[in-house]
Amino acid sequence: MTESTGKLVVLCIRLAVPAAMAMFCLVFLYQILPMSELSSFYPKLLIVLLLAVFVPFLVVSELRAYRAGTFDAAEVQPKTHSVEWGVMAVLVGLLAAWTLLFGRIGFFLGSLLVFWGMALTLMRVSLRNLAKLAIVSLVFMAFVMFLFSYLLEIPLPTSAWGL
Amino acid sequence: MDFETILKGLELLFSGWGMVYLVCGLLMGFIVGVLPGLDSVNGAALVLPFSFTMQPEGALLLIAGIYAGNSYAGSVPAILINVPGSTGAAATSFDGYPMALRGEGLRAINIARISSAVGGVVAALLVMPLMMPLSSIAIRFQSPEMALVGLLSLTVIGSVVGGSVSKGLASVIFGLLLASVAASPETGTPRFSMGFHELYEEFPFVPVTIGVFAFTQMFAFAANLGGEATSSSGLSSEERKRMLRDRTAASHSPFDGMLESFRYVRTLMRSTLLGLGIGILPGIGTSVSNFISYGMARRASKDPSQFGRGTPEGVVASEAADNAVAVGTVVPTFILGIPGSGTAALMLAAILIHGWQPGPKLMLDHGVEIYSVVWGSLFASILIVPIAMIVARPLLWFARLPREWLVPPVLLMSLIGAYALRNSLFDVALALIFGVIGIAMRLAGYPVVPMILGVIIGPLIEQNLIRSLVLSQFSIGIFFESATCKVLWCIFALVVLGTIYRVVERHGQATSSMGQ
Repeated sequence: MTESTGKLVVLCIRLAVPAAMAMFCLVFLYQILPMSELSSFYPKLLIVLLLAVFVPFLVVSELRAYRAGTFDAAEVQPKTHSVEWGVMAVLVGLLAAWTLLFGRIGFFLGSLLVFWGMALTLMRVSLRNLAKLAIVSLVFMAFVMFLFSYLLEIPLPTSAWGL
Repeated sequence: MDFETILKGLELLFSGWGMVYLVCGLLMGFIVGVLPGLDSVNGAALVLPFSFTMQPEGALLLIAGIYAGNSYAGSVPAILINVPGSTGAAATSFDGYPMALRGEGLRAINIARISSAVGGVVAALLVMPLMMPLSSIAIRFQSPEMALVGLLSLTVIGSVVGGSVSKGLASVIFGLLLASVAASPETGTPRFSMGFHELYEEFPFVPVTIGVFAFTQMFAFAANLGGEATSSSGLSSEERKRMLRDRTAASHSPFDGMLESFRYVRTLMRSTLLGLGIGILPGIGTSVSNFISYGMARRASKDPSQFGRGTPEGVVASEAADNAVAVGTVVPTFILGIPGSGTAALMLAAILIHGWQPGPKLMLDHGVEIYSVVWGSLFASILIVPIAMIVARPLLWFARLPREWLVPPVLLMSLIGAYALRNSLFDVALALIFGVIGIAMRLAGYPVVPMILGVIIGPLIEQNLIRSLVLSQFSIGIFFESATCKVLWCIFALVVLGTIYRVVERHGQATSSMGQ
């Protein structure tokens, strides 16, 4: 990635947050417009502050810094360059899968699979590591089950096989 | 001063499970403290969902223990490997690390331990007699004053936390807006609930906290965002063991340096008072106190040239201030309902889970429980000395833990924590979404702590703001009527002027450095 492309990527990342804030504000505003003054006054006040003051100011200051060359890409670039985006995507995907499957396959099996998935994504796979993983994950699951079922008495979903 | 309430607080601490929660919190604080990238706020976010199974004071003691433990333990990696385990230990590494390079690592750790303990104990002893009188002043605050205090605190937080004032303030307002995604406090009309019944009553701040503090941190750690993973796993296990052995080689006794902090008693007391003062100011917290304290110690020193080269006085200044801040933050949190730091915000969240109403009346209704927490902070500071000695070796093992063994358990515990509070998968999904939002904010340079504080104290500000406006038939004159309001506006003006001055000064520095 060339320096100019890198700066552009960083600019996009920096503009994404105010853009997302603005989008959230607009959708929220649309929802509360028909409400009574008493219900909608406070969120409207905050939305106006964000949309009229902060979002334009943030966007303009980022663009101005980018154009003037004072853009602090050196600070963000090393972060974005060395980041293992694939690892992050896999982790988010595994956690989303856990959320979807948790109720169906039960806490024990779902969590065990996700634990293995995350660990295998992060570690160098070897026979020794796999044996370690099996032991650590089972000990961890046993601890969590004991903590929730006996100490905290919080029921966790089980699968059709009772786990 | 109400001695009876103070003594009942002590009694409450030693009855039931109080001390057990405190010691558990302390141990957990040690663990999150030595892990670079994790802080007391992450540890508190992990235990928050489980705290509803405890008594409120038990939950608060657990978090107070985490706060105190983390304040000390963050200094261990700062001294040994020059990677501060917590934000409050950043200045400790300036002199602690050069000491370790001379083989005096253990001596520096012992100095840090005693300074932390003294800072925490003295600060707690000073806070105790202050709380009731401050509370009796705060109880006179009406809705306009409370709304102004909330706005003032958030302005301070937004402008101080993080590098950019505009980003900090935008983060605060975004947090306040998120908090308003719930039924209106005056009319009960659901706002922006999108058909999810989970959003009808109040915005669920616990999953948001878990998402932003636990998920974001673990995603960043796993994906090497900011180089956290490499800092702790760049060396092999044998290399790390040898390195740690070399850095503690000059110490022949485990008690080496234990009494050395008292040679710098003026620095110790000055830093404690400074830390306490900063802790009492809402939102500033540990991130700046250790630097200010270090800078003051350097200016006051007879030989400032020794600072940065491994003088024990530098370690004393940073560590005493750090633990005093942790105690000081309980004052605005429990007296005004305005958290003094991210971890104090989670204390506030813990009491909200139990249905306690934060604000000036809290001390009147639950004074005994609050005093038990202050006593807990005092005893946690004392317990740091023996417990940290006993667990020193296992703690170093945690400091060497590679990401593949750290990330899966923490993420899974966070998932279960998000689920456990209301047995709701909606909360898990919300935590996950806010984990991703936290990453985006972090990449774009937006501080997340102001957003979380906005989410937690947003309802308090809205209630008081709307109530004041209803009382005055929507006339803003009500915010200028009382003498307290006028004083608060003056402070507000000073804060705004100070912020503008800081921004202009920074802009000037940037322009002059570009010119060069």
